[in-house]
Amino acid sequence: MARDRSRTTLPRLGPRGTLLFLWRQLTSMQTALVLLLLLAVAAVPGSLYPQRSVNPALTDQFLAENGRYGEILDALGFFDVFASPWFSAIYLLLFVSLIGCVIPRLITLVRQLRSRPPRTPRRLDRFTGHRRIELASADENDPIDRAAALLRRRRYRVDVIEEDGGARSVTAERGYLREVGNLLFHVALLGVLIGVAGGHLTQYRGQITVVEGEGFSNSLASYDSFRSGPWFDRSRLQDFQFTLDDFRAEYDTTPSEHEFGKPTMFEADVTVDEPGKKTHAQTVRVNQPLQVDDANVYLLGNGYAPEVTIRDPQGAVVAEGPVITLPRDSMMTSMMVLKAPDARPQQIAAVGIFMPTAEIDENGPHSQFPDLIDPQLAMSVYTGDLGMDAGVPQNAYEIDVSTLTPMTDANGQQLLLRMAPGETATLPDGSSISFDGVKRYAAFDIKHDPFQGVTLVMALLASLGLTLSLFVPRRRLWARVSEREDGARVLEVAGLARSEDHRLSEAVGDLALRIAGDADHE
Amino acid sequence: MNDDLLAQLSNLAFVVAIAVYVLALLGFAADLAGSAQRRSDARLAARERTAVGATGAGDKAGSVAVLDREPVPAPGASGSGGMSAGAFAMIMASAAATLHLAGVVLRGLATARVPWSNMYEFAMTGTAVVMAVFLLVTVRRRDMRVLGTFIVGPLLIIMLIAQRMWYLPAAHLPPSLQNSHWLVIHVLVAILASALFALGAVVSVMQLVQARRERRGRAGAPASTKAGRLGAAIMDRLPTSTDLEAFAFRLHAIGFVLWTFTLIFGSIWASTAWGRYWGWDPKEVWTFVIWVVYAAYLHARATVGFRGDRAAWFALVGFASVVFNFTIVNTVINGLHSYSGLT
Ligand code: HEM
Repeated sequence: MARDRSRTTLPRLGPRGTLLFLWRQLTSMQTALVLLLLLAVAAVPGSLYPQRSVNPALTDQFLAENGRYGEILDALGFFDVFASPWFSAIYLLLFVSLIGCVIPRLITLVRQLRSRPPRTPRRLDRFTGHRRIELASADENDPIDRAAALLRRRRYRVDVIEEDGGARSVTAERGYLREVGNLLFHVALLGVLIGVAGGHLTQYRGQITVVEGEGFSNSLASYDSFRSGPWFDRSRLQDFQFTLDDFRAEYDTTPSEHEFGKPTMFEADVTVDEPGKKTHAQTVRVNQPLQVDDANVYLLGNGYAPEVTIRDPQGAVVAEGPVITLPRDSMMTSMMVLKAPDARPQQIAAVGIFMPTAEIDENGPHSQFPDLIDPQLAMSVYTGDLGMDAGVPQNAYEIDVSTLTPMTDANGQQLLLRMAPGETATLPDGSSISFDGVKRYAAFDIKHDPFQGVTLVMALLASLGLTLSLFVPRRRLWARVSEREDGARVLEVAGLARSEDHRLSEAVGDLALRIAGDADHE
Repeated sequence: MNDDLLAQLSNLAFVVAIAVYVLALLGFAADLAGSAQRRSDARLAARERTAVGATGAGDKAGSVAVLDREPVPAPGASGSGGMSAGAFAMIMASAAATLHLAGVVLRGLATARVPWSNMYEFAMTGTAVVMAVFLLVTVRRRDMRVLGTFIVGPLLIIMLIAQRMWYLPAAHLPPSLQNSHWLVIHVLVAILASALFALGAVVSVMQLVQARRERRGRAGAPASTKAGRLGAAIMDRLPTSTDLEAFAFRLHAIGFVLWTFTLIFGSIWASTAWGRYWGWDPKEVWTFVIWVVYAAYLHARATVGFRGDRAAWFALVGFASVVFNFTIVNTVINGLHSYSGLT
């Protein structure tokens, strides 16, 4: 019994039927709506939890602080939301649904465009703006023909119909652009997705730091970090070089808490050398990247590189050069690490702070202004095994001093050097450190995405389609002239809004006036 | 004129504008309550008349139909001969909006740049746009003037919060915002879109309240308390929920197109500034979320079972996201877009 009943309420679909049923579900408006909402909700964690792709350091910190809870979140993909299986599933389903939705509508639209507008309804008085006007005199030009001509001029699709009982009517429809726009919008969204995916697969991006006077040549070895899409052929980096001639920064000197020391300008002068072109000079600014051969070079950071030389007791140079320092605060108090693995008998490391405008008080050494007014270095020197031969890759800007021995002065106090440019300090073991001068460095991002143009064009097409589909009214207009029993000719007009259309009754009224008014004239 | 003076004049203009808005709000509220009271009295009187069977009032249905279409008294044409509350409100609102816009322009002059580069400026400029759009709309749609109370009220709250909590002295641009016309375009479009969404949200709320009342009305349960009657009478003055829905849709549709451009222009800017057009920075995530929610709203309007009221809820969720994006994301969640100027 029970089985019988279930059989009557649930018709067997069979595998083909089931698939068809699922497909219909997937391509329904309700499903699209639910998927859209899911997409919005699924994106939110991407703003609440640190994302690996955006800020890996913060992600690691979060993981370290949250233990097991962090691990669970990580396993669920909360730190890579936008690459997670669930987020991808939602938008892929949405786009499958979109394709399934767009194709039938495209077919319908084409069919509509190739057929005549639907017939005039028998009773017009049920429609918007309906009015009935008695036509004054019988004139030779049929008002319906005139109405048809008028509507054609207004870009309606028009059909004139001879009806039973001697009546004639015109049926007109406009606003197909609305549907065209809607389809364009949805298809272009698909195009945006393709552009983004294509870019993801073929792009590359890397970071470099260049000190004033030095150059960069585009090869993998010159990057501090480099990432590329799986379809990018690393052997095919664009071939170009540039030299950083000068880097300028200006800072606000207004003595107010909010403004003092705020940067007001960054500029990098570069000389670019690319194949097939003359060497040329250019200034790179924030928001004004350097464009070379399909790749863009963006100015994203800067800092100071003090020139420091370490000599051994015999006077031979064991470490030399501008050292890239990392700014720690908005006044450019910068951290410096200089490693001298060639120093003998023991390796030497200098660790310190560079201050463009030095001040040492109870807060320790710090800078008071980001520009070079009174540059100084405060540093300690360590000896020992720097661990650089162990083959473990090291961060050049960091060092673990816990295994090293600090150098001390005659009294056994840790040696603390404070130097201005041009000064040289002799260390207790006879070696020396000199602070020769200060250069600036600039940090650049280099990026190449061959699909960026496609994505932009698609996005703009989507906006165009969207605008058409939201603001082009789709409507039908009808006019009919029939004869009453008493012989008088009566004009009837009405319209039907097939979308938001607050001007419809106006349009119907205008049509009536044009037909009847013209009739009066003649 | 020197920049400091201009900046001070700008501050002054805002403060005076706030004071004048308060007057406008009082006017709008008095107009709403007053005419609602008059109408409620008229209706009661009519009911009594038909109840005692007074002749000449016509049949019951007829008299109600006439009362329902009682013309909204034109501003300035009230019976007492003085200025009507509605006209007063419109004059005050226009004056305040003029001062408000002057404040925005002066701020721009004082800083020698567009006046929208931190939260304070964004709020002040955005509210000015809301008011300008509202006043422009009412030129053509007088019936929407009755929304004045519900627009000036929230607007005042935002202006006060901006004045008290987000205020920053006039300053020049940090390099991250320099050399880019996208600051002008992208942010301007974002402000316009947000302003339309804000107006749209107000209209959608009105729509929902009105629709609920209309359903109740059909069920036939008249309000029993005096406040309830006044509330009902106020809602009587508002357009029907269908009209409000259509109006809300127009606001949201334009807002959505502008938001789409906000997103595209933002991407173009990000691409020239940071070398990537999209990076899921928190601000970008929320720009996307807002876009998707409003897309869902537009979809819902075309989905069986969601038209009308349910769709309106989507729009409200959208606006909640706009507010979240502007407040929490700007101040609590830190990303690359840290231009609030508050630390
Ligand atoms: C990527 C996901 C989608 C987004 C962001 C999206 C967005 C939109 C937006 C903003 C509109 C209103 C503007 C317009 O009329 O063009 C719209 C309309 C429409 N969408 Fe989508 N859509 C998506 C997917 C879909 C899917 C999967 C379907 C089919 C199930 C669909 C069917 C429609 C239809 C029929 C309309 C016209 C509504 C009307 O007549 O007013 N869309 N869509």
